[in-house]
Amino acid sequence: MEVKFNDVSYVVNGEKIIDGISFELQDGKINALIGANGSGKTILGKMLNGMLYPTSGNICIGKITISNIPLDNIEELQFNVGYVYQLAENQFFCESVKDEIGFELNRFSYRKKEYDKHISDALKMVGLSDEYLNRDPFSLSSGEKQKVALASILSINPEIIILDEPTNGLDYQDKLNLVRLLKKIKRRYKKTIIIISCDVEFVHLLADYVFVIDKGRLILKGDKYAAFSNMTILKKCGLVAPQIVTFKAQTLQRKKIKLVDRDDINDLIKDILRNI
Amino acid sequence: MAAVIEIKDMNFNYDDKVIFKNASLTIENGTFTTIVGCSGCGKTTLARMMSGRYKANQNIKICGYFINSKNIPKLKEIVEIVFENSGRQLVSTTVKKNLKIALKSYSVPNKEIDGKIEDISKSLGIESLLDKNVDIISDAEKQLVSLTIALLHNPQLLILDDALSMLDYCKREKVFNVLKVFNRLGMTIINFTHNSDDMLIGTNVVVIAKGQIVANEKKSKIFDNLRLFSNAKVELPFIVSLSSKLKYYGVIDKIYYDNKNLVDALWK
Repeated sequence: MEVKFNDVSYVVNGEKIIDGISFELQDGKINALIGANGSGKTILGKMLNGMLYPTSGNICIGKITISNIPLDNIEELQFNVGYVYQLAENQFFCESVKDEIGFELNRFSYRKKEYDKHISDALKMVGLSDEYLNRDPFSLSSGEKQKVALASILSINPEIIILDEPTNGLDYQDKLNLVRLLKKIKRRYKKTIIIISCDVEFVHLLADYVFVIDKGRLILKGDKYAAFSNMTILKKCGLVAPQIVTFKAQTLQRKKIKLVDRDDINDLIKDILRNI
Repeated sequence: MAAVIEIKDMNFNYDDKVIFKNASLTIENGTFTTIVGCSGCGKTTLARMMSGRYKANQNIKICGYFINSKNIPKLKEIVEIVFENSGRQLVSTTVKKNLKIALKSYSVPNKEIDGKIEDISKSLGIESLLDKNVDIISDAEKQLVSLTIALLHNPQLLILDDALSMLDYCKREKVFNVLKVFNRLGMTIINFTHNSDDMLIGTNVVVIAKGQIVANEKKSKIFDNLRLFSNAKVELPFIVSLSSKLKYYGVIDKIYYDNKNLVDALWK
């Protein structure tokens, strides 16, 4: 499904939070919007889900156009674009995991007799068993909350999934699990995934394409290796390159040895051993 | 050096789930301790115990005081704790008014308030937020404001429970530089975190796993036993992980803590 920002601005009290942004996301890929705190990336995500409207310009999502006029068909938009909040528990208000996921199904008028299957399938997609159905979502660990929030979005099978700062509160193993899960969802279910994050290590492991936002403007875009190799621009935007990229850059700068772009530390070590 | 945290043979359960079993921990005054452990290991539980929010079935001493109703007012004077979502407690007005309300509650004289706000805002780089309403700033910026309020109190002990989790790299770096200054001036800081790189910042590191405190060491010693981290399912900082693997292959002879020195050691 096409996702295209056309000269989008967002103004609050005369301040341009988003300043004339135009770009198109990659269909069926994992797109990362990265930027320092307050750069405007979350505003862009919320516009895609109809939580905020542009002050000017428009966003095309398939056949739906979002402009400064509130949508009549907001349900249709939110059926196609699922949004997982920065603090996953902010989207919970039911007392069981089953009710939490069932709420989304009810909202989009799924047939009640199909609820159990959809709920069970959604939990399976995120790697949780049916044992979680009666658990209180607020009592789960951060990683489990994240999975339940994602499952409730997946249950309605949206074309586009947005995750806002999904690594908050997750430990390393949870992050690796989330990387595997989102790659699987992209590959198996052909979803377009949008990650909003300032966690460059996570984005480097996961994303296909990276869009760098600074002060409400698009500063840099490209595949992740190209985007992250531009360390000067990243620094100007209040970001740093992932540590594996920084190490590679140091090796080139200090010893004129060019290592290959890598995601994994073990592959980097093989390259180092080959070059010694 | 006096102990700021003294916990002995602590037990804590959530219903049937054992979180801590006979765990003991001492943290010395004036240290900057980073506490790590995998999700669900009990970090937040421990932070809440230290702040008196959870009662354990034994005595815990904070800054020399047992946690009980008699000592809570005193502990409130000398201990500050900032949680990941402390921003929720901000009042719906400008950031500056929130800081003023906090300073008044700390009984700071009116004539000193503006100066204190100016100084701390400059150090933490939040000047541009001062006139904004907290309702329109980001969750990360709310974390910064919550930390600022805690620092304005200038507590003897500052506990951070994933309180910097949403900050971008540059803001984290700035915040840690400020925290190091407060620490040098005598504030004891305890940072519960998921970010493994934080272990390279403080003076001491505590590792929690399976209901136990499995390590409590000075930063310079903590990476002597790397198996400890894999057993505790705790990620190593990237540079430590890379160094240790290269050391295993025999191409370097020690752990390095920055890229420059590691690159120079690899290609002399």
